[in-house]
Parts: sequence; structure tokens; C-alpha cells
Amino acid sequence: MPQSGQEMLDETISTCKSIADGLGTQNQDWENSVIEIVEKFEEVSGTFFFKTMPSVPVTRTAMRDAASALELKNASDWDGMTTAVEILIASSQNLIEKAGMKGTTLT
Amino acid sequence: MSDSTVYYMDAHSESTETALAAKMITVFDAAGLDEIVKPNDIVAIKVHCGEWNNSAYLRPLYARQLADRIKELGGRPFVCDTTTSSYSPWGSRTSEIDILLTAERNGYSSATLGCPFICADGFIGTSDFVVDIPEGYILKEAYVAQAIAAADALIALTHFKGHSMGVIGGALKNLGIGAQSKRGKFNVHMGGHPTYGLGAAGVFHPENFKGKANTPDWEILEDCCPFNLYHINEKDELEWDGDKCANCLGCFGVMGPRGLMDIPPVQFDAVDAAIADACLGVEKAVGRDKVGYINMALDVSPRCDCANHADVPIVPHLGVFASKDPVAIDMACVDKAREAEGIKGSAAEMMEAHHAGDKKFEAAAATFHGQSEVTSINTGHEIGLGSREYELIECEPDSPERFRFPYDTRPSRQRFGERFEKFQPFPYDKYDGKGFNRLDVVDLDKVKHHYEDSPEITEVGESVHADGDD
Repeated sequence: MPQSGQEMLDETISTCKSIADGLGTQNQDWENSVIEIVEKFEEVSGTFFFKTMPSVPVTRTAMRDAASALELKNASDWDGMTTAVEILIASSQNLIEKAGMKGTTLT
Repeated sequence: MSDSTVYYMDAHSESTETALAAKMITVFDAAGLDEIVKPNDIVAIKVHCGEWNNSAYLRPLYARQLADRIKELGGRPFVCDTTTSSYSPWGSRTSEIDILLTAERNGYSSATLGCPFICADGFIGTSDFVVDIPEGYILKEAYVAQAIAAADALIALTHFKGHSMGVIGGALKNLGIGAQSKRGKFNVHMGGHPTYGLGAAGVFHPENFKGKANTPDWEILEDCCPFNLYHINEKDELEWDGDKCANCLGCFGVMGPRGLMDIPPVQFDAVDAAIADACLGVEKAVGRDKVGYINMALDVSPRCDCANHADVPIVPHLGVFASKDPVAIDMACVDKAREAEGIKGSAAEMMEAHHAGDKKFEAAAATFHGQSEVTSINTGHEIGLGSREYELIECEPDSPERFRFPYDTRPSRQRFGERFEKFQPFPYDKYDGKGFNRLDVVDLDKVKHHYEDSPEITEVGESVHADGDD
């Protein structure tokens, strides 16, 4: 069976934690942003939205953006990291709004 | 080993006899559904007339074509739908007066159908006939809409598509929900059920209500329930009398997204099983040898016709199916959808379930992860309603003569020759017999050219278009 929205969110949180781990040595702003994303995702985790199929596309996008950012970090490709974090913030923002946290702004 | 037979024609159409309305009659006859109708039989044609502003429901043309065929067979047809539960606070088919207005706006009326359009379960939806179904998987009785139960024969003319609760909206659901009265729908939807009802399985979260002052649209929290079960008390707290919940579904879209109610996925699974039970109830009410099924798998939208919108179809038109077995016919449609490539830009692609072999309805139509597109089918198989094993027989087109304009079957000269002489539509007496004031020659290549590809015309071509003039 394909992954559920909740399973994708769990994976995204885990990936984001790996991204954030030690990222501050390269750029503290990046680390702060990713930690904030993890905090917001943990707030919405387990809510009704993630049991529903409409959560799948938006969560999948955030999951893939997080995976791309982690790949760059693991490759020490810091040139692409600014863009990757910006993309991750955008997809995460979209996700938490869809999950019912309108009014929250990720930085 | 095939237990049932499903007759099928694909959705391609290039001639009179391959028109989809013609194919529908061809498979109807091939499946022996014409034998169900005896002279003077009152025959119910059960359709989904479409919610307000839905645009994927079946065109009334198909019901008209079928009604005409039933008249040919000596039957007295009527087309019908039933009142809905108040599944949306703003539903358009919740009472007889509403459904008749919506049906007429959607093109279903005696003027278009050539027979009455009936709301089969009365003004509120309490006009029904109770049937015992000891074979039922979960239901032991069904409340069948009276006009359907009273008919001598029944043809379920179904638009096959997705459904957020049923996962598929096929023949089983057309009767298992659509032929139940309103209280029959509460029965199927698990209203008051001790395990699967919302009152038992739903988890209410009043702590997520932030008070009237912080909830500008707080009134809808009370107004979404026609049973008056939600209240904001004097302490500004949200209360719910869940024990009395009838599962009308009216609060789902209001409470769920606000985090005020965890709607239980298990309820949806139970409903999907109950749909098959209730369909069996309809067959027992009418007579098990007096019910036939036609599935028009066209405009296969992910949402049901009970939605007030219609999304991009998830698969191309699949074709036209007929059978005496509602389980087999739905299984055949699911199999065809599974074989098909999904449509680009549809919910199937958005869910990455657009490949041949993907379970497209589970991905693109279901509300919850884990719902199955075969729950109703498997239940129907289990209780002896029908068989998920089937033989698919592809039908050859019938003769074109059968499907021509029936009111005057003569060719054009015989029909119009004298009238054209009397009321000449072509002005032969003008412009030297050419009739109209026009230039003799113009540069047609200039207006055929794709200027976005190259600013200059490099080739000279000529084409002739002869597909008719309007």
C-alpha cells in the first residue's frame, strides 16, 4: 500500500531533523529554519488532515524537498543549500496551511 | 471460472450505431435486460440526477433513450432519484421539492425524458418499504424507496465514477444508497450503530473550539446538524449529543477540517460493506429476476455526482456495460479503470496513481488512506448478491437504422423536397445563381498559418473540410 500522508509527514520530520543536525556550523539561519519546520510539523502531526488522501500530494512535495536538501547536506554542496532551504520552507508553509494552521509564517 | 456475464462496448464512437446512446441499448439487449420488461410493467429507471452545479452526471439523453426502449417493449417507465441525507449544510436534493428543482435544472423532466421524473422516497424521504435481509453482511434490513419497491421492474442506469465514501460510485451504490429512502440512507451510513456510527467511533474534540469570539462562522457549527445536536453553551463551549447522531454526514465537512471531530475511517469501510447489503435489499423488494444494470463509465470523475462540482476525469471514457449482476458489472468497471492509463492533470496523476495497474479510485477518490475500491464488491460476492468473477463479452454494434431519428425515417428529399420548393432556403435568384455576396478567391493559407511557429508562410497547402456546416 502506498504511504499515507501521516507516514510521509513522519518521514519528513525525520529527514528535517537529519538536515538540521549540525547545519548551524555552516549557516545558523538554515538550521533555525529547519528546526522551526520540525516544530510546526510536530504540532500538526496526528491531526485529521493527515488521515485523509488530500494530504498526500502536499506532504509528498515537502517530503521530497526535504530529501533533496538532505542530499545536498550529505554531499556538502553548500552552494545549492540556500535555494534548497527556500524551497523546503515554501512547501512546508503550504503543507501547514493545508493542515489547518493558516496564519503561521515560516521564516 | 466465470459466474456472471457482463456485456460491454468501448467508448469509441464514429457512426450512428456506435453512438454511446446506441451502444447503451445494444448492451441492454445483449444482456437480456429487455426480457425483464413485460407488457404493462411499471419500470423504474434509477439514475443520479446530479447535485447543483455538478456537471459530470449522466446526460438525460441516456435515460430518455432507455425509457423509449422500455416503451417499445410495452413497459411504462419512470425515471427516479431519491432525497439525500443532509450531507452538506447546503445540499440541493434533501427534499422532494429540492431534488425536483435540481433535476429539472440538470435536464431531468418529463419534457426531456418522455416519461415522469419521480422523487422515489417522498417529500422528506420517509416513504419506503422495509425489507428483511438476513443474508446481509452487516445490515439485516433495508428501507427501499417506495416508488422503486412498488415498480414491477428496475433498471439501474448508473454513471460509474469515484466516490469519497464508497470509493467507487457504481451499480451497487446506485441502489445501495441511491434507492434507499432517507432513513434507509441513515441505516446504511451507520447512524446509531454501536461500533461504526459516528456517535460511537467519532472522537469529538471540543477543546479545539476557540470560542465564538475567535470563530467568526461559529453559527455553522450548530447549523450543520438538522437534528440540532451541536450547541455552544453559556460557557462558550461546544457540546455534541453524539448518542443521537443519525450519521447524516452534515457535520463532516464542518467539524473535520476544524479539528473538532476525528471522523473514523472504519465507519467508511462499514458503509461500503453495507452498500452491498442494501443493494440486495432493493433486489429483494423488486424481485431478484426483475432488476438489470447498465453502467455508463464516462466522465469518470473522482468525486460522485453528489458533489457540487466535477473534477477532471481520472481515466478516459471506459465504455458502456450491462449485466444482471451488480457485483460483476462494478468489478468489470474497476478492472477497466485499473487497466487504463490515468488522465494527465487529473487527481490520479496528482496522487501518482495514473499508471496502468494502479488502484486509481483508492488514490484519487477515497477520503481516507486504507479505504478499498472493492469493499462493496467483495461484500456483494460474500452475501450472494453477485459474483466478482465474470466473463466480459464485447458486443458488436447493432444496425444504424435502429438508432436514426425516429420521428420521420425518410431520407432528406422525401422529407424536405416540397418544403424547400415552397420556402426556398437557398437564394438561387441572387448573384448569378451563386446566392450570396462573397469574394470569389481569398488567401486561405494566410489564415491557416501558425504565426507563432514562423512569421512567414513557407508552404502553400490546401485542405478540404466536409464535416457539415454547423
